[in-house]
Amino acid sequence: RVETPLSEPRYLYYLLIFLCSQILGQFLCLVLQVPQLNSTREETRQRPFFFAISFYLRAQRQREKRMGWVRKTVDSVKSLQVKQVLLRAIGLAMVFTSGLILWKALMCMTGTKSPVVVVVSGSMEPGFKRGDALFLYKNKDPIRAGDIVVFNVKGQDVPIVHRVIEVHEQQSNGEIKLLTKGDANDMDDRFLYARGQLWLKPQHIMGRAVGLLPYVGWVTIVMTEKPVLQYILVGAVGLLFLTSKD
Amino acid sequence: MHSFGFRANAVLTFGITILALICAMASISDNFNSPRPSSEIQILNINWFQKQPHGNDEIEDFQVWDVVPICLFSPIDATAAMVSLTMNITADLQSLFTWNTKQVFVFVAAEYETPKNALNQVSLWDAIIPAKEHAKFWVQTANKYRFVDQGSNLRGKDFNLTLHWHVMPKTGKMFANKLVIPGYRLPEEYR
Repeated sequence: RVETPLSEPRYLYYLLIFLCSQILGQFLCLVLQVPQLNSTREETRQRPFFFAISFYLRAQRQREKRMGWVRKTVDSVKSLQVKQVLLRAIGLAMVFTSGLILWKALMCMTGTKSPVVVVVSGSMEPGFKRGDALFLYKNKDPIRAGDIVVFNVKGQDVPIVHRVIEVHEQQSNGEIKLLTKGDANDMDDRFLYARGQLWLKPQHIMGRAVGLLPYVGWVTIVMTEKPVLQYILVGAVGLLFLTSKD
Repeated sequence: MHSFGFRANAVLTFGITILALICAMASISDNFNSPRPSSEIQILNINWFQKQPHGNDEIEDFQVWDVVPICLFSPIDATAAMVSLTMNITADLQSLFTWNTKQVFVFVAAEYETPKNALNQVSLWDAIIPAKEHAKFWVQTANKYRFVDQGSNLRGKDFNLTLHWHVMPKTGKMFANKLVIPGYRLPEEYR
């Protein structure tokens, strides 16, 4: 299945989810930022939006008058912390959803399930070294000899990046048969295909490599081979975000 | 605001943004290069032209894995004709190189049409040109990869030899193009 770009309704759903999550996030932030100790009658009058919350504020003020000074301070500190953490968490969630939606949009625009792949083997050296990131693109143009394609063999989840060396296109139905080979390999890829499979079809191809960014993929390779680093990185970034002062 | 974590984060973000910008500019600068490559391919000799021994009906995707141990040649279809030829390839690809070019991958493919297939492209020879100094070359070689077609369609076949080049940059967009040289013909009979 080829994912067609922007015209697909799936793209609109994702856009809708993104907008809703942004609106929800902004609303929650706004509600949480209502000042509790300092607002006066005049301020509530000037902001009609918080009219419903003014009842809550009045009740809280009465409660404070009854409590002692120490307990009031402790209370405010505790509530402040919870509010801060919640605000940070909502901000983080909004950044997350933006990132996810951006990735989905990229998937739709490039027509592939993974717009960026990382080279893990050395079979295309010296052109693509281990750790290079490749940008993929797929459109309706037929695959021709010389294209660098990324494909998945049935039963394997690591995709392979190799060059097409043979193309046979049938007259009757336009069916295309492809044979690939890595630049640094001596043999073509028939030993990599599934048992009994001699040719690749266009539906096995994830996309054509159109661009290259060297060394960037090492981050992904290191994190895949040592999964503990993933958790450390996410934990560190999350902690940094949650404890920021603004 | 002034903790180590924040400073490290700011430095990293800025550094990565600048790096990405530089890579994009390097890639865009490649578009200003207008290449003018030239090439000539001569077929010196058709060494041999044979039909494979299994003369059955045309069977697609014939499986040989179970019977033959894995050897250097991957299994080919039953009833296939094979050609071996010696070529003289001259090319001047110096204008393709820019400061952002890592290598140029060049290969020669035979393109022909058969009653069954509208287009066939078979790669015969390829090479990697790592630097501009090696881009003007003359090479005399037999075909590196088998020129094989299913069935007996290759007798007396007219075919084009195309020289393809694929410019692989240090960073950014890759460019590929080709030069078609028509007018080659395989002999009428096997030999």
